Amino acid sequence: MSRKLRTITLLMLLSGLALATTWRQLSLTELLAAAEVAVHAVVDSTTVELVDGEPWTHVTFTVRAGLAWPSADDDPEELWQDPGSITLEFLGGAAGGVTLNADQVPSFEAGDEVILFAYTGRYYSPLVGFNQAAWWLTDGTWRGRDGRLLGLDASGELVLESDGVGADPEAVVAAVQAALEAR
Amino acid sequence: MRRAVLILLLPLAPVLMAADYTVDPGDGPLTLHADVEAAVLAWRNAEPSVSLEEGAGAERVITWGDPDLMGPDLVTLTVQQPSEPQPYRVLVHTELAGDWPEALLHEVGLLLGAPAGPEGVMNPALSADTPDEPEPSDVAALTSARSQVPGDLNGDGVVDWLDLLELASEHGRRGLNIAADLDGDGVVTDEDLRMLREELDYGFTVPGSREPAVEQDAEESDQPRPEQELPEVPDGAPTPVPAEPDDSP
Repeated sequence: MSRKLRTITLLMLLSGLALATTWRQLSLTELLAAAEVAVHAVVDSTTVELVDGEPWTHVTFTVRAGLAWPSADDDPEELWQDPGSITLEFLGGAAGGVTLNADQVPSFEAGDEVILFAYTGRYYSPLVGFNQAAWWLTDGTWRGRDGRLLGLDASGELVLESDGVGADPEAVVAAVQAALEAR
Repeated sequence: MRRAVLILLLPLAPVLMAADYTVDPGDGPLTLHADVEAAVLAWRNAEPSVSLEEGAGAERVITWGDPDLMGPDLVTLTVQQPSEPQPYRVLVHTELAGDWPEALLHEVGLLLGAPAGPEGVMNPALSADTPDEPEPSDVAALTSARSQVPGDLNGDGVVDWLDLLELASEHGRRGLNIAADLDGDGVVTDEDLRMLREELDYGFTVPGSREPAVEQDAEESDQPRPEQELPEVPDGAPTPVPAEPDDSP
């Protein structure tokens, strides 16, 4: 074993380099209830900007379907007035020679197709549940980074399960919209 | 002479007496010290051998986070800024932390070296099922992590080409707690690859086995491998040859 790796590993064990992040686990019902903005969208671009010396990643989405949208009365800063696209800001990234890694903050790449529930407020992550209310279209299913699948059960009810069975992606989008409208 | 030695060693004092973490409540409630100490004590009750030292100047700072930016669901958030003298900050939600003391059990567990996982207090997703003290599964995860071979990214007990593949798949990734980020600088780079390649001199794993297949030199190659017992040979029968290990992937 190389001396350098042995030394670094020893230091990591002694000093516990691994530190992490914790959040409240929310049920699907809680995620739906908390969503102020919900969209079916595709990531258009990501840019990183320094805000008060800290890098924030701005992710711009092209909206395919607005599933829930704040009213103008709820939106004093007029951040949500263009139904064609939205930009969400997440702590972290590299810009101006400053690098900041924020553990478990969701990351997106151009072309990602997603369903998102978000708050209108500016948080380190604006997603409902911090990182729970984002599902990527992966192999024909909507899957979150925690492995939970957003799908339909045998009776056509919207479900969020680790061992769930997928469904037609468009049918899931329609079920999400119906569930949001029924709140 | 003794005084000169002491003067020379003085700048090294912070290194020699390095603390594991710093608690900085800032302008927030002073209870943060007690909350972290309670979490350390809970781990010590579960595993008496653990110890952590609090003090100034540690690489990791546990501090209060701005609740306006943390939002309604985030209880603790770790951020890393490699350029800072104290590059790791654990931000604790001033309002939610009281409802979720388990979050500090999780953070202290990670400080001790236990990995995040799906069970016990090491599950970062907090719920009514989260235990209020470390469970045997948490202690087992900590013990296992402490005995892990450095550079063994997939945790199979050896450093081999599978670890190289894992590092390759992570190359360029940024973030915290990435196993392939061997130097801990927050990004998987060629330097991590170089460090791992140094470990690969020890040999490769035979697929389906956890034991590394030790490279044999010319002198050893004619000898039976110690783990293979040859059957007894009747007089006059040809000598059996030990089978070669299957190196196919």
